[in-house]
Amino acid sequence: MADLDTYPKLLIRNRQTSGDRVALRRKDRGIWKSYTWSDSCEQVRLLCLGLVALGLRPGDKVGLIGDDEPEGFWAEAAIQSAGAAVVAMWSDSIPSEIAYVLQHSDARFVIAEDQEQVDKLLEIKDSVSGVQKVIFWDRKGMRRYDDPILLGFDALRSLGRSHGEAHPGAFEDLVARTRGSDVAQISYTSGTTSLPKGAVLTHDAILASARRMQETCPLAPGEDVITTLATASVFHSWFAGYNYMSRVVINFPEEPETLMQDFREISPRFLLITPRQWESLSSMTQTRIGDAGLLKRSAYRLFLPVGYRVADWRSQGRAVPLGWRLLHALADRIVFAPLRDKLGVTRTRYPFTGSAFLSPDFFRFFQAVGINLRQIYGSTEAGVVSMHREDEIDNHSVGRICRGAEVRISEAQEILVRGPSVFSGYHKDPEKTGQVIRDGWFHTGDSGHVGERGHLYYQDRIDNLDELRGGHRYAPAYIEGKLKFSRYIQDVMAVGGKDRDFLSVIINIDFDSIGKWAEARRLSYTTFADLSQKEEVGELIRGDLDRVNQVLPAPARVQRFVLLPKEFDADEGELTRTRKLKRKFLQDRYRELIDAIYQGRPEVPMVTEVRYRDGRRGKVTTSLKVRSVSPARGELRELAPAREARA
Amino acid sequence: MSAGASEGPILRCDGVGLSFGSVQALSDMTFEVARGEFVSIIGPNGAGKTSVINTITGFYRPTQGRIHFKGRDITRLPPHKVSRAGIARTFQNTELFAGLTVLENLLAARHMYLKSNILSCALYYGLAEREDIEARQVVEDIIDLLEMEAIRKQEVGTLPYGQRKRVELGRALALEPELILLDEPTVGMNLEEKEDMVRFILDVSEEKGTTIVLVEHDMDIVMDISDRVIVFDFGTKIAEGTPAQIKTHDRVIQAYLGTG
Repeated sequence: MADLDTYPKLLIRNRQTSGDRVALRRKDRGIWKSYTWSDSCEQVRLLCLGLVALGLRPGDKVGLIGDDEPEGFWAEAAIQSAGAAVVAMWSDSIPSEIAYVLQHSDARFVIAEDQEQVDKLLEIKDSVSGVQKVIFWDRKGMRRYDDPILLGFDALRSLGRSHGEAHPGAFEDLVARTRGSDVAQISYTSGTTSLPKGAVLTHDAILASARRMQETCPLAPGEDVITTLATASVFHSWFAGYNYMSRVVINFPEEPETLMQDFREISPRFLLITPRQWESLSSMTQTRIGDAGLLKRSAYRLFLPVGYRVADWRSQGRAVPLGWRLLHALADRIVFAPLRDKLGVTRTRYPFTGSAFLSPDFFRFFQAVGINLRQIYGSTEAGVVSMHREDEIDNHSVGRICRGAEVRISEAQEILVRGPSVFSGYHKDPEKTGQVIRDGWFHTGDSGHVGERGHLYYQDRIDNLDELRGGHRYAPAYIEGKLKFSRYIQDVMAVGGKDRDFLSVIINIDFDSIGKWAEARRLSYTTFADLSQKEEVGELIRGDLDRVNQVLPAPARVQRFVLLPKEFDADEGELTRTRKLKRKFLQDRYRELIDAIYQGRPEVPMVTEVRYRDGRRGKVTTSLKVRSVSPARGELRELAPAREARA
Repeated sequence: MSAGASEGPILRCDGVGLSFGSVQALSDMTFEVARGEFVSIIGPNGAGKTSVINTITGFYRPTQGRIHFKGRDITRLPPHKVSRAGIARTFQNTELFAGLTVLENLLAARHMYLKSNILSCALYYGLAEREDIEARQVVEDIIDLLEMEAIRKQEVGTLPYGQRKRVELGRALALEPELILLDEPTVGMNLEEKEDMVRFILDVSEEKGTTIVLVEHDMDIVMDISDRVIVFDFGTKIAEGTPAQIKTHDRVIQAYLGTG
């Protein structure tokens, strides 16, 4: 056991070195219960030997489906200890998906949580003839189930116990025979358009990613984390590395629904939850504040703008004036620290989000209340590629490229990844594998670029890109998203395309914020249209564009912009009801304006039809200024220095 | 019908009648429930279904007949003694402490099991501590069974209707009864809530082996899950049998659909 290159080997090491220290904790019947490394290892040993007694052999595959509970965690280790591979499935999969995955992966056994999953499996058992046993751990509601294919965890454990008595040391021998290059799991991607593909991951690949997470965000043995990820998510396997490698205690919430309450009790040091969950934390805060007493509500209303202000300064890399710093310290004491306590992140050193986009508003909100959200970029196939370090948070990048991950940007601006964390290929599908792994590089299908300091910038899926005349590809939604970080910009549309040389943007100013900003500067204005064409407002927005240009690759920097004298309006068909841009319609509607931008005209008269409240229609002519931004200006400015991290 | 366990029925109503002044709410109600059985009582509105429960549990005093529970005459017992004897019920309109949490509501239901004296309670030592822990264990098992972990510490008054009905069921279970009388547990629920509730009731019946008498308006639910069905109309029993028998019973069809 010289090389600790698989989780099972690490498990046995931990039993030897820290047998009576806590490995896992679960909330059950309202109480947190602990399992030591010895307990955990014993569970794994019995389950593993039980499976072996049933006929599991190295190289076999075993399905796993259910919510994330210790039993599932042990089952994974048990399967891998026997040299077999885990095929984890999403607990909300429908029977036909489960049938496909089990059939395709040639699974011989399935380990399932409860009645809900067993019912699905019984429904499809005839179509997956390779499955010999369905083993379940929660017998609630299953008293009357007598299908011979079923086997309870207790029965499996006693099989394991007698096998262990007959073959002393069998478990340790099996574990010693596992190799880093063995297949540890097959992760089926949820195919939205096509059949799911099974990404084959070796122990080496999983451990490489786990190691990167721990190098970037180190935790000490005995510190607490909580599982927030589905078993089928590959992040879950990487996250498990904290437990096996660093001996961090993993806590399991009582039920998926109680996660938010349970994690407050743990206040995990490392927290990776989906953008959706961050959003729900944010809306939970708003609701609670709404229900709070007058005093708390007014304190929140009074101090939140302070938080926003300071967060804005910091994210722009500007120094915070002393007075504001003091005020912010006060605000933190009175409002933000108690708020973080309520959210359960008081002890959280590494708050992370990954896998999809979180809208800028939420980033700003969390930063305002002192939660410096970081991003992690990775995928089942590529492994962990980049993460923000504690002192290097940057809303625009998806983190610094991790040590050991090689990243290259292709001609087509696709992010290519190479290194030990990359998967071995799609199970039984060399053709698809060949499409994504070419010349040793994994093609992510994502577009992006590498910036200064080794940070990776993700833009969009490569399919959503547009192209300029020079052949440079850019991601409109990405540029727009970045601009919307500014609180002065309500909506924005990027304009470019194959017959144009550079990018321009059409911007809707945020009337409320800019109106307040103007008032504070004693800048008089009459209407939205008037305000939007003020020279000072143009300068203000130009500042935002300069900042965004810094994080864009040079050819894709914005060069001209126009501030529209009206807002994009869903009633006029410019936006969908969910406030997404209808690009095609907008391009047609503002054709004249767009042409003027590219003809280099400094001003364009624009006639807008307005519908008054009483139903009458009128026409308003506004002279729109076409402004330029110097694309080079971004580079002259000092890059935002890393912001100090919150203790 | 088969009430025929060797030790006799757990509940037997023998010619029970109930009248309020000149209004005859129940007349000559006679039926038996066997241990572990799942019996449903159905009938149109105003048929006297809830009166059956109120009479058994001592809320109403029957004017005629006898009620036996486990062979013991409970006809004249007041409600708290009936519940002590091992019969629990839920109410059509939930009757919970709105200002207490789910957990507290369930714990309150266990007060009849608490025997420790004031001193022991005040010091939280000896019996008081043991009882408290035991009560919490029983209640937590119920929370697990009915999947109420996420609302454990929420005030009942803030819960949606469907969940309050679930708490009601939990409160009845906290008494660890041998017989549960459920008064229209799915009334006012949407389809999904109904299905959940039915699953929970079946779980209780299967996991705990509790005898269940379900009073229900919704025919579909009853026919799916009952061992036996009793039909009431205008305070009298008009039919009794397996769901299949009841479905084709002339008088039942008449009572529900009216005479042609």
